[in-house]
Amino acid sequence: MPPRTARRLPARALPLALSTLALAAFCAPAAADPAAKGLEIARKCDAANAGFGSEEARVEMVLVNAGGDRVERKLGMKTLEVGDDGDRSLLTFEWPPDVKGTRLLTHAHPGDDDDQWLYLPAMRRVKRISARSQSAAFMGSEFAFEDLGGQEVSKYTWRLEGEEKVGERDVWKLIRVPTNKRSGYSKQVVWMDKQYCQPVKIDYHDRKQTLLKTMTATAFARHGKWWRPQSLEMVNHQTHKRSILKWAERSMQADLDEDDFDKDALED
Amino acid sequence: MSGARVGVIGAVMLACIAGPAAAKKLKVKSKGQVSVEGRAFTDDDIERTEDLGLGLAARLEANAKYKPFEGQLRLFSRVDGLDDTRNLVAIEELYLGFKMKPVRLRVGWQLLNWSATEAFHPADMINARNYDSRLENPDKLGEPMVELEVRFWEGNIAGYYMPIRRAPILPRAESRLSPFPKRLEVPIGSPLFSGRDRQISDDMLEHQWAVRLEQTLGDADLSLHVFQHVDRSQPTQVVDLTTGEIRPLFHFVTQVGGTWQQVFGPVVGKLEVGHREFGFPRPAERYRLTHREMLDHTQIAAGLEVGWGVGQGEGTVIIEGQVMLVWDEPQLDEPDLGPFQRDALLGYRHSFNDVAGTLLQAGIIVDLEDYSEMMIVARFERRLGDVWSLQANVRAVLAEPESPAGAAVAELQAVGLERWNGANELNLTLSRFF
Repeated sequence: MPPRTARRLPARALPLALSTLALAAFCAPAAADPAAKGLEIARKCDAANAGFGSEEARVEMVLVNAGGDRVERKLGMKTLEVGDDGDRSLLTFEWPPDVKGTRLLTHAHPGDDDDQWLYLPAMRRVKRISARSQSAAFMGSEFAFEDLGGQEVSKYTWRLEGEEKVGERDVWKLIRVPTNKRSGYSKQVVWMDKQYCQPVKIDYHDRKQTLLKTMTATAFARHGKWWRPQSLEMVNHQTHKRSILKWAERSMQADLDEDDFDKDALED
Repeated sequence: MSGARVGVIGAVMLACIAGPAAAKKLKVKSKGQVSVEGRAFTDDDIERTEDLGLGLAARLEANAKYKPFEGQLRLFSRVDGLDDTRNLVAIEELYLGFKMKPVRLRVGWQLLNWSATEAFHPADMINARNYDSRLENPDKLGEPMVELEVRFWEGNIAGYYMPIRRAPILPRAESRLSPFPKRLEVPIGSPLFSGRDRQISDDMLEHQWAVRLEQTLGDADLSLHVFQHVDRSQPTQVVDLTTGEIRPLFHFVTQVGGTWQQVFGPVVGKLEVGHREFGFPRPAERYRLTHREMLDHTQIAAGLEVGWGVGQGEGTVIIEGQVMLVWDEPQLDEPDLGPFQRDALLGYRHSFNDVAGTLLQAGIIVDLEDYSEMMIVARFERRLGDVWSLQANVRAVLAEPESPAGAAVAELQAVGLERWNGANELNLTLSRFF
């Protein structure tokens, strides 16, 4: 017996089909091109996170080895938005005490290598360094320098994989591939929160296409109009070590200007 | 109520009101380390030299900021149980400062670092050194000065006035790092200076100044400097006819030079230049020059650093070379201007970027005029827990002086690195940071 709907369809479905076709035609470029849609979301979130001017924070990092032993690191972070260029950042190491006062100044440039200077307090020396090996570990943690550096949209190619839920949160699932050949990753899978416009989870795949690490962002708090995670946890699936970054203090639109991010500022 | 009482009550009230605000504005930071330092040289078969050292060292540092004012203190001290010639208390930094953009003023003892290259430092000449520390890179001593810096464009210009001739710490004759012949028991006297007026004296006062311009231009950092001061890196010797001692003589010098650093992808290119013109000291009845005069010369060092990722760590190859161009007497084959005259460095540094901050570094400095002359250095650093750290340094000096008249004469005629031939050293430091 033929299905009943087969006979009814023409009469009732025509207006609906036409509407669907019209809608599909309207949405076709984005739906048919996940790369364009992915880039559009990345840009949208980048714009949503911009405009904070400057940020000052104190951060604690807990490193946990496979056996569960924990060690603590402390650092100060300052960031300055630069209108037509990448962000400027200044990291000051505060713990452990043998590296206390060591500073790393970065001037990020979209589409180009970053400028970096290292300040070595024991020698009172400011040293120009090449943009560090992207995949190198940051302070012995599971975070690489590129995980914590400027996340400019142009440093990746983007693709929208779909829409999902992570816990209770609505997210876009995006694939981003680093354009820098010195990156330690072949790709990253990003679950981007639709409300926060921030990643709530990222899977990092190494150059051999194997899942290397997963970062989870939690405890989001609103600072003015910007959402920021108060905690990032990075789990290394290959070594079973993990590192947790926690923001102890954070102030947006801090009293900082370009003079706080030049070479002279390293010695202050 | 007496005026004095009113004054006291007023001051107390003011302190009560202003105290909390002042405390909030005052930022004090401090850190320090206590270390057990051991050093051992290979035996040189000379009775009077000291081959072993074992000491306790401490470095204390404190910084206070009460905007726009600041103060800084950094002191180093060492007590050595086996080699008391190394006992030391040194001011590295002690200054008061005032900073209001774009101006910064500092008055007191400072450590300046104008280096671009890793091994050779033609531009970094302001501070006196402790030559009984590391032969390849001696520790600096604080230099008393007034500094005025003005920021402009992508950098700054700074002027320095240094009214005091701060003598370097020279190793005693018993030290394996002494530049004097070890087999001869020659009495070594305190340093002398040849000043702006070319008079030899041990007077501590002298008008010395420096100006340095520093700018960042895209991927490059540039600096230019000019200064007039008493050089503390290249002494000659005089005989003090009243005491019979040999005394090191430091000369007044005018230097112009600069540094350049530029990034080319994973490579950092570096250049450091210093051209020096010395004032020749006037003859003095009391002193007889035993050494030829200081020669005007240009010191040029250039190098490359190439870095790449190795797992979670980083490897860096360092290649550097240095020449001394003597303008006064270009026919002189072997000017005696210091341990490193025409040399090349090949080095490798590996940062493991692990929890312990492990670092391994090794290098070889070879004399380009005599390939059998070389210095080999290696360094290992590792944190033990959060607050302890172990550092090991190894150095071997292979620079045998030669003379047809025998070893004793060869030692007397030694120049450059030859003076430290056989000063092979193992240095271990265990530090507790706080």
